[in-house]
Parts: sequence; structure tokens; C-alpha cells
Amino acid sequence: MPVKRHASRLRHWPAAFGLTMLALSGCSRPALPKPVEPFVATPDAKFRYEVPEAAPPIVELPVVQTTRFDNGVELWFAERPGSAYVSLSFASRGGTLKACDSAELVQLTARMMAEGGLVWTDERKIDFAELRGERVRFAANHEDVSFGITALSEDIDPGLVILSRTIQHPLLDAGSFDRMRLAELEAQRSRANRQNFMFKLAATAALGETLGGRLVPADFARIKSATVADVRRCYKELLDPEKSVVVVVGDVSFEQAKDAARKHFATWVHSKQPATVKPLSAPWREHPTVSFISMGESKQTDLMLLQPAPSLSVEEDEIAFGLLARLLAGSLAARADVRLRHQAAVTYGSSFELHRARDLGLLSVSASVERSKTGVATEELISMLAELRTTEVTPSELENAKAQALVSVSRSAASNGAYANRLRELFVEERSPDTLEKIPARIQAISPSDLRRVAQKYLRPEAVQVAATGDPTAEDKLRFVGPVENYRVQEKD
Amino acid sequence: MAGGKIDWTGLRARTAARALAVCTASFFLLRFPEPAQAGPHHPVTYELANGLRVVLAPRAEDLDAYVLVKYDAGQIHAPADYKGLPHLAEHLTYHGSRHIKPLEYVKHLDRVGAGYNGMTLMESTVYFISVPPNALKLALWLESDRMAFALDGVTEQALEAEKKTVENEWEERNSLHRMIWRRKEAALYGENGPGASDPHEVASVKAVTLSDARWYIQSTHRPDNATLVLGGNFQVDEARKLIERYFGSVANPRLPKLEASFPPPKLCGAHKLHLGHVYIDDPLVTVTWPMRPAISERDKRAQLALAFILDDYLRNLLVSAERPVATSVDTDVLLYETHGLLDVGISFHAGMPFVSVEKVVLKTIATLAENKLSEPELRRYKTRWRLQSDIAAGDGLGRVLEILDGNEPDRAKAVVNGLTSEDIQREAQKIVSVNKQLTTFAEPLDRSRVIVSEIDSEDPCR
Repeated sequence: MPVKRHASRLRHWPAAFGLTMLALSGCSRPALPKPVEPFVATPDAKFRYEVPEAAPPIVELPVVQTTRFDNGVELWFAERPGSAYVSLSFASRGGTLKACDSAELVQLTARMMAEGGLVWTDERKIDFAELRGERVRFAANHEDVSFGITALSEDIDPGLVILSRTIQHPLLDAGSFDRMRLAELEAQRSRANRQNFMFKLAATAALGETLGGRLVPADFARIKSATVADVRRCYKELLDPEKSVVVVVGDVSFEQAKDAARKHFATWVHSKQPATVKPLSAPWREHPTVSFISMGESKQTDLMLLQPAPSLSVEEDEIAFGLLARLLAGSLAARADVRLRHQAAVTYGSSFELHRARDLGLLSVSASVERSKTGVATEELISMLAELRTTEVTPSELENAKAQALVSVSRSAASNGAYANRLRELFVEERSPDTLEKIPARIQAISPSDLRRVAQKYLRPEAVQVAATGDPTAEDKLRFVGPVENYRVQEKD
Repeated sequence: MAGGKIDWTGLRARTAARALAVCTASFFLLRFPEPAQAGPHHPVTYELANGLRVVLAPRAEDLDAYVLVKYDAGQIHAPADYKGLPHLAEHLTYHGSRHIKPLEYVKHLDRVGAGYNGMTLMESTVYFISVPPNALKLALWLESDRMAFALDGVTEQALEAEKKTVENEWEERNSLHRMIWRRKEAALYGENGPGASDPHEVASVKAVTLSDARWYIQSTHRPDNATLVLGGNFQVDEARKLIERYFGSVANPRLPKLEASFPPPKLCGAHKLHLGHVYIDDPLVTVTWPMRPAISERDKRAQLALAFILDDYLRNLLVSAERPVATSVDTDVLLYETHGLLDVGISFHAGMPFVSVEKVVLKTIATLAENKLSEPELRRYKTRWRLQSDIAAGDGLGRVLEILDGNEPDRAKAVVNGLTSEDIQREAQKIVSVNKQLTTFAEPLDRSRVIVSEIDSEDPCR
């Protein structure tokens, strides 16, 4: 990377900060007025001491109707009257974890399909089709590739035309290849943020290079060396009508959706290439490690702790484990926030994420903590994982976690797009369309002993994989966890 | 490579060259009728005897009920040398009150699966809660206790705890984007302006005393300085009764409200700011123009339309072109009582001179000032806006936040429908004729530095 030095007017914030501190400490600030006593002017009342009752959230979801066309493509549909628009999407099972030569190639192929041009109904080659300013969006996920477009309700047919041409007749030619490759490189760069890099390092430490690379695609060389032939081959492997779904959610009728989807998807024939990659799985590393990324002077250390979690194929554990994760780091009243933010005041907050695929489940817990407290905070987080294995959670903690989980189910239908996305996930996970309806009862049935059971089955605090980013002085504070591997921020490619 | 013209079907065939103006006419616009207008759904506004303004905007289709309280006190109300006080005060009011012990606020809300947050903005501080409809009473109880009894929770212990939390928050969010924006704010409003806090904010928070915090909260968190907005799924009659019960008796303190005004940017001409930072991957150019405050809804919608169309033009020129030179275009409009800001940011490939990108941006807005939009372009904008508006209407909280800002979705639709090309051109002309802007260049620096460095600047005011 070229280094540019400019003339003498380079100014540095640390100097300004130091001077400011000096100024503030040395000079007197203007005194502020005093508050008026009594501080509280409002008369008290008995009713203000009464906590209003609120029943657990009620979950009401739009009914899902489905049908299957002769070529295997399914239609999943939910009517939402009064929403004025319709969310149209398509997904095919087979994503970055398993399909094609690499995750990067899957992403490039999906981009070429959505943005690299298509053959229109009159055989013209066009760059893109636009529907009232909307274009097809795409995503290359772990277990599927998906494409979507939003349309006004009366535009369902043209919307599905555009979607179907994108899926079935992408150009995939040399004309746009370089532009698409450049765009994908740019997208990779913007995804190469700290959180993703930390996750990649921790996952690689836990499960090995192959899975780490598949989970967080970041191989620029792979994109640079890809050819149009690679993309065409990947396209053939990626899509399978027998494993595909069209999802329609919005203010249209099932009959309208069915007629339009049948017209544009039911005759689709795709000569599929057999998958070249076998399903991935790897044993969890037996001992803990730390991946430390030195970033230069920083007052905070970003921490991420990685643990095993149930995969999608273990349905019986997923609800309980999800509640466990919420209870640990799902809100300001969760254990991690209570201890690290409210009591110790070393962080602004913590969070969790569940990463799940058919053969894989991971739980990441993250927090940004004061540099000097890096070791203490990490130790506290690890001890919380251990506690969940040995001690049952309290009824009130479980009740809170359940309430959040129920509302989360409810909010999956907050908008057409959100519900369409949730239905897509169910299809990709090979669940039935009525799965969501059954979740509230399953949530309510969970007991504290269920949480302890899944904690004992999955959590491995003695083999925690830690990734951290921060000041080099924070590295030493993590040596108590295990061997430390040091990384520097990647140079620009 | 297929040749071909850009034809009326709205599908852009591949061409060897791109025209400056966007000239696709959407096939679907021409073949399908304009979408039907939604029915009116106007919020109801009234005021309690204590001065609390109430806005009720029910919407039965929403899953949740939303309770928002906006206090007309934000960053600009911070006394000199106390820049961090508004943000610290926001944190303190979550720490507990007379009837709600520390941490119980969040526990009560977690129990019902609520979403919640607080924001300290330039001119206001906003607290919001989204709850299942059967928990509306809980949300109103919590917010009324904050308004009336928060000071009972402001103790030395709370103060020390929240000072640390604010500092942690500032450190965690000290992102590149924020650092660049803060430097721009300093260039726009001066080093002692409301937004240019950074190290000042943290230092001032450390020095705040218990008396300072109590005085500030007492002066600002009061019914005659607040607006309560209820949105989403709730029953209007029941809500009115609950509001009267919980908020009706909240008294105002016997001291004056804090008044402040947000002066417009101090720009004298074409200002330039040249920054460097180690985390910058692609060079970035932003151009920020001050705008006069909108005096009508029509003005405001014309300003927003200008931003939308400018963004579109620049994307077509720089990102979607046959040979793209930029990776992204981001356009923001910030509207305040005394002024507005139109900000365009372009990330581009290394090797392009900064000034070339700046020239494209300035030329594009000049084009919009010199030429009216064609009718098809205007129609295209309106249709796209309508679709985006309908999608946004599905976001209950977003809709209520718009209402809090005085934007009524249904009224907005009518105004946008009535916009003319002249309206938009006029807004562009206002900007161009004033001839004041701040251009910021940001480029990658040596990795041994982790701070935003000002490399150079031009200030015509000096």
C-alpha cells in the first residue's frame, strides 16, 4: 500500500486530547445551576407502586399454504391483506458450505446470476430488469442461495417474470464477468470486518481450515482466479428444481400466486451437475486457544467466545439451546450484561449469535470490554458457560428468555419480507410449513432442567475458542485461556 | 457484447456508452395503472394540562404497540464544557426511579419480550419501547415514572456506574465512520460546535457532578418539554385513559426549560478537509451542502426528492457504469429546525484523483439546477418512492419515528404525488446559488497510525 506523507500540517488527535484534558483539569468550568428541591414535584400515588400485569405474548402467524409443481419446485405462500405489496423470493438448497469448489465461487455465481445480465423473454440480452426501481437481490447463505424482489401487489406477474429469468436464464458470459468479479472482490473486502475475521479465526481454531474457510469466505485469490467456465459449472451444481422453493408473501390470493408461479417456474428444467463437495463435519478442538489480532492502540478489546451448538438436524435441542443463549447474552438483563455491564461496568453490552447448518452448530458470544479488564471479563464469560452446565437457571430468567423467544417468533411475521425470509429458512432446513405455529408450545414446555441438559451436552468451556482484537498489551491478559496465536490486520490485497 | 438502444420496456440493453441523465422509462410504469391511494389514517394530537403533547397513531395491522417519548433537549442543549451531559443523562434515567429499582426497567420489559432503546440526538432525546399490545400499560407506567420520578434514581452510585458505561459505549462505537463524521462536524460547526465532541465528551462526562446531572434532568425531562407518541396496535379509548392516569398528574419543576438553537454551519464558500486513517480501504469523497430549513411539507419533500435523484444519478454515472469507478454512493439528508444538510459520500477505486470525483458530484447537482427532470423521470421517482413508502409502512416502529418527526405517512404521499419538476429544480438551485459546501477527502494512511489525521484543510472563512 503506498504511504503518503504530507507536509507539516499533519495534526494528531492524541495531542489535542491531551491538551484538552490539561485544559479541563487546570481551568475551572462554569458552574451549573443547582436543581430545585424537592427534586420531584409530582405527587405520589398508590397505583404507581403497582406493576401492571402483562400476559405472555400471543403469537399469531399468517397461515402458510403450499403446493408442488411437476418439476419439483414448491410454492410456499402466505396472504397478508392490507400490506399493499408482495415479497417474492426463490431459494435452492445448496450454499456456501457445500456447493461448488469454494464458498467464494458460490458467491460469485449468485452475483453473476443477479447482476451479470439475463436473457429476456424475447431472447434479448439485457443487463438487468427493473420493476418500479426494484432489482433482484441475492444472498449466498450457508445452506442455500436465494434471490428476491419486492413488488406492488398488482405487479406479482412481472415480478415473477424477472425472478424466473434471473434463475433460469442468466447470461453468465464473459461480457460482464470482469465487472462482476470486481464487484465481488469489493463485497469480500467490505465483509472482511473485525467481527467476521474474529469468527473465522475462532471457527478455524475450533474446527479446522476447511470449515473455517467455508464459514467465512475471504479468499481473494479464489475470486481472482475464477473463470466463466467455473461459474457456469457452479451454476449447474447450485440449482435443483427438486430442492427449490418460490415464496410469496403479501396482499394477493393463493390462486393468483399459484397461477403466476406455475406459469414461470413449473416448466423449468435444469440440467444439474452432481455436487463435488462432500458434507462437512469436524470434531471440536480438544483444548482452548486464543486468536489475537493486534490492531494498534485501543482502549477496548473486542472479545468473541465460540462454543458448539446444536445443528439443524437436532430439532429436539434447538429450542432449549436458543433459550440458553438468550439467557446468557440476549438482552440488557441477561447474565453477561448484568455482570459485565451493570455490576462491573467494563462493557457497553454483550450479544450472541447462533450459526447453524445441517451438520454444524456454533454459538458465539461477543462483548467489547475495557482493555485493562480483558482477562477478568473473559474469565467471567467462561465461568458463566461453566455455571450453565452445573446449575439450573432461575424461573424468572427462563421466563424472560421465553418471552423474548415468543416475541421473536411473532416478529418473524412483522413484514412481508421478514416472513418470506423465515419461510425460506424453514424450507432450506427441511422443516414443514407449520413449524412456526408449533414453536410457541415447544417454548412453553421447556424447563430449567432442559437448559441444563443441553448446556451439558454442547457447552465446552474447557475447550473454549477465543478470538480477540485490540491493543497488543491486552494479549497477555488472555494467556490464561490457552496458547495465543497472534495475527496482524490483513494488508490490502 | 450485445448492442442495442435503451428502449421503453425499461430493460436496459447493453450499450457502449452511458448518457449523463437516467433515461429508462419503466415498462411497468407505462403498462400498469398508478397504484390506488391508501385511505387516510391521520394521527390524533392533543395536549394535557401539564403541557405534555400527545399523538395517537393507531394501526391495527401492526403486531406491537409503540410508546415513544421525545424530550426537546439534545446535544445542542449541553452547556459549554459539558458536552457529554445529555448523553449521560439519558443513561441515568434508565438506572431506576422511585418505583423502579435499578435493572428492573429492563427486567420488566424482558419479561414481555419488549424492544427498547434511547437515543440522544442533536435537538432531542428519544426513548422508545415496542411491546405486545397487552403490555401497553406496563410501557406507559415505565415511561411516566421516568418523566416524573427519575431523579429519585440519580445517586452517586448510579452516576459513577453510568459514567463508565458511557465511556465504554463511546470507545466501542468509535468507528471510522463516526470519526470522519465528527471531523466533518467540527469543520461545519466549529471546534466547539454541538457535534464535535469526541475526546471533549468523555472528559466532560468524567467531571459531571451529582448536582449537575440532577439539574439537567430536572430541566429537560418534564411534561411541558415532551411529546408522547403512541403507535401500532392499541385501543384509542383505553390509551387515552391510561395516559391521563399515568401522565396527567406529572408536574413540571419550578425552574425554566433549557432553550437552545442549533446555528447553521459556518461556511464561507468551498471548504475542503483532507483526512487520513489506517482503516480506510477505499478513498472516499463526501460533499456536504447546507440547506435552508424547509418551511412547508412540500419544501421538505422536494429536498428529499432532490437527494434521492442525486443519489440515483451518481450511482448510474459512477457505480453502474460500464466501467465503474466507484464502489458505493451514500446520500444522507439531515433536517433540523434551523437548517438541513445534504451529504453525499462516494467510495471509489484508488488511482482516481479526488478532485475528479468531486467535480462529478458538483457537476451533477449543477445539472439538476440547470435542467428540470423530465416527466418520465419524475413519474419514475414518484413510483419508486411509493413502493419504498409502502414497504416502510410495514415497519411499525419506523413509521412511528416518522410521526415523531412530524412526518405523517399519508399526508406525505399526497405531497409527493403533487411534486413538480420545478420544485426539485428549485431546491437544487437554492443549493448551487449559495455556493457553500464542505468537501471531505479521506484516504488510507500508513498502518502505524490508528487515528484520524487531518492532512490538510482549506477554510475560506479565515
